[in-house]
Amino acid sequence: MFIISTTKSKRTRMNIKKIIVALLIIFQGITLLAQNSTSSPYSAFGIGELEMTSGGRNTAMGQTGIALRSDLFLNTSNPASLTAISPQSFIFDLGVNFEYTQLKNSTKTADATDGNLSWLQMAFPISKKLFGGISLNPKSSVGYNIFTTKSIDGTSTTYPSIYEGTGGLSEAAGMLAWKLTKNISFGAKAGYLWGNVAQTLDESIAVSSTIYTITKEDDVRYSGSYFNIGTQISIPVSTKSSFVLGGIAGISSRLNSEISTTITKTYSSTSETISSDVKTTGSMKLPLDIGVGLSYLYGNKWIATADYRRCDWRDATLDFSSNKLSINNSYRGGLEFSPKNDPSLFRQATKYRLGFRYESGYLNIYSNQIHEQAVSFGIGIPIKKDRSYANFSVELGSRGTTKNSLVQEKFVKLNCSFNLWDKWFTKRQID
Amino acid sequence: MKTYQILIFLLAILFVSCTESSIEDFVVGENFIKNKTGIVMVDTLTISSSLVKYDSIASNSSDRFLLGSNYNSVSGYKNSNMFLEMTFDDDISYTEFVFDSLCLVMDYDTYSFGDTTVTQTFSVHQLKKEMELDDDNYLYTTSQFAYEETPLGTISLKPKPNSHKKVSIRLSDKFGNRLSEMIRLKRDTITSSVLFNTFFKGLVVKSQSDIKGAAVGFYTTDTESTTSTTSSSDITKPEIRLYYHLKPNPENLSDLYYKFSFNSDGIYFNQISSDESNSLIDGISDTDNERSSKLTNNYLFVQSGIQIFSKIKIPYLENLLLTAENSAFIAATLRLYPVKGTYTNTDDLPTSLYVYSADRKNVISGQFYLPGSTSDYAYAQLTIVTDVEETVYYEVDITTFLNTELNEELLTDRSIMIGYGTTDAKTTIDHVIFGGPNSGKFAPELNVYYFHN
Repeated sequence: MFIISTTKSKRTRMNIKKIIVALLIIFQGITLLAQNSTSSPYSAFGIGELEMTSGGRNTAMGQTGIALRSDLFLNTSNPASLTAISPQSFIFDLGVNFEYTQLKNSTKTADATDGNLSWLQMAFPISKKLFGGISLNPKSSVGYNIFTTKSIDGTSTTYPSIYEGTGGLSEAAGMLAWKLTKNISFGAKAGYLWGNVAQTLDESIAVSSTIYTITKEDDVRYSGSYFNIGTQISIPVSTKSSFVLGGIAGISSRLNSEISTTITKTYSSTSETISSDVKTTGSMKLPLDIGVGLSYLYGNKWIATADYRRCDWRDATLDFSSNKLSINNSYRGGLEFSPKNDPSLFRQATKYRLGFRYESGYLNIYSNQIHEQAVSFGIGIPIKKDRSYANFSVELGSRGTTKNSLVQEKFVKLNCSFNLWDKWFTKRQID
Repeated sequence: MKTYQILIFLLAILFVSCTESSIEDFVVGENFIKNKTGIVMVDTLTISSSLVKYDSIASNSSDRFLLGSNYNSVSGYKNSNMFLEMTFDDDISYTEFVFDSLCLVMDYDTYSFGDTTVTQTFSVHQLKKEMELDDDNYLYTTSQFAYEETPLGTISLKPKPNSHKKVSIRLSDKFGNRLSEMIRLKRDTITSSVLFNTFFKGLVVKSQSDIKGAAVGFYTTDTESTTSTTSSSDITKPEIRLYYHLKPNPENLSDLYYKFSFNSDGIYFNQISSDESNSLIDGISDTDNERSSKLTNNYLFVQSGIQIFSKIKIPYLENLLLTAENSAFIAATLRLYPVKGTYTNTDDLPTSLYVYSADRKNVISGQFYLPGSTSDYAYAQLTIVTDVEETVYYEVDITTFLNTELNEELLTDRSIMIGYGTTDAKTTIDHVIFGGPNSGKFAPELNVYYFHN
């Protein structure tokens, strides 16, 4: 039961103002989620390039998080972690990212800069043992231009073929976490996925003296949902140190698709639709993530963590191409160091973070597994007298190979997130 | 207030977040996206073909008089006679003169087709009756008018169409004397063109048929000489010259003649006939004027003067899109290859041929347009590719034709007719021999392009 009195404190009014602003941003964010945040040709496969969106701190620590708990930083990779936030507090986290990618194949290089909202998420206690959270973030991004030269089947004549993909999936999720005991927590996350991916194929040939352009537009409308659970168990070792053991598992998922295909033929300033709006619907199971993580906390200053995740994409066949998807194995590790942290002082300390990750990759093109590896560095700077932080991180990584006409990408991802901590509701003040 | 400011700052960042890249020309491997979608060309569709002969061509008032006879093994002998009316268009300056000779004078217009080294005989006959147009104001290559058996004059020559020399056919002195007498008397029959026409109803210049010679063209209008050489005189339309001299001749005048000119406002036409006996289309009129190219030594053929078309049918067209589901027709071209050795020089080949669509009874329904155009018709254009070997073919874009066919619910049985346009048909006696289906490297090529989804 929460009663907001007519005589609010200054702080309460501040909160409402902030929530309004937050909602405005969310509103903005929903439209912006559809924006491309990739220029990778690999985003042509599957549902596009998957976004990693579990929080600013996680990003700096090699995208770990299964066994991370914090009362300051939001971590949506394991819903059980929400039980770490303190009573009557409220954490709001907003992240944006910029990515510079250098693409390289056997003959050429190119570069691309993309940017987008990374996430909007918040968490709050509901009762002493129950915690809730919501998140809104891009799930995947599609943004590619693939210029190829094909030869007309039956001849040696070549023609340009241009594939262009845009769009992506967005994700809105609700989380609920339950603190069973002081050291054992459970969480659940239910999400809704939606989005559009458009692929346009342009092929041009000259026949006699006329140039014909065939444009095939596939507009895929996705919608789906999933349900995940997670757990975290804290194991105190001594007064100075403890372990956290975490686990997550996907329970169910479904992604429905509806493809509208339009083929048009353009020539001599005439455009005719050959076939339009051929709708085909499909449905697939999104791969169910399973993952385990382990953290070691030492003396309020050091946190070391490691995650392993496995994601089986083999049955996910919603794809424009016939390339097979396979299992992605992720090995991630991260470290956080707070040199001046002293819980006895009511002052927040700067956090220094680093991490690495290796993804075996779920794309298998020409029998080449497209792996990805990255190292990350980050810093968390307190931005107010109380417990809010600005987090900055940079991730340096590479993906793919230049072998077999494939593409190698080297990327620099800058992430900037604002972890805003505030009192959820203040108690009535005495007049 | 700090938090609030940060949120505003983030909002600003979100507005500027965007994608920028230089990957526009970043070409990745051809099979980076492996799918079957793409453009396919099929050249294995069955073509059935035949030669179709049309009865006659309206040939009056054309821009050329055609005279002569030529031959080819496919369609046999062609022969053209010219019919025309004359009128006296001179002032009678002298009535006291001595008649010398009467000649029909004509100028080559440089057109010829056939063998000009063969001696040919042309004869000039007077018409028995005035010519009349039919109800639609036409005369045809097959039109007939009676003429006097006995010629006014004949000439045997090897045509020299590019010589810029006039052809002069000496006509009967008896007739010349008669005209001279009428001039001396300034008879109405001479001075009035209407009366002259009733007296001299016109003439036909006949070519001896069944000669493997050449058909040549003569001017129908007076033209300023195109050559700058002073030796060549002005080019004239056909005229009859009555040469005379004065006696006495005080001013010493020479080369005097009275002129009877071709009346270009009157009736004139080319009468073109053919003799198909022992040719590959011998007896074609007994089979609805159509003969399969299987029966013509696998030749396809187009002929002007006598209008013969190459007819192309694509009998299993509807199978095209059945065999390729989800496919979309893009375009199609048809190529016909002239058989090497049947023409001496590519200059002898017309630069383009007309292409029509025709119904199942071979009635021509008209030309069809180039794709996307409502004004430009599709023509079969002569293309000469000089590589190691010279490749010569006619190519026509038949996309519009096939599009119409594919959009029909029922089988239309329409065909493509390739041949000479109406102007060429009545002013030339040309032909091109193409390879027909199953004729090896000169066989027609039908290339159909479609998008396979």
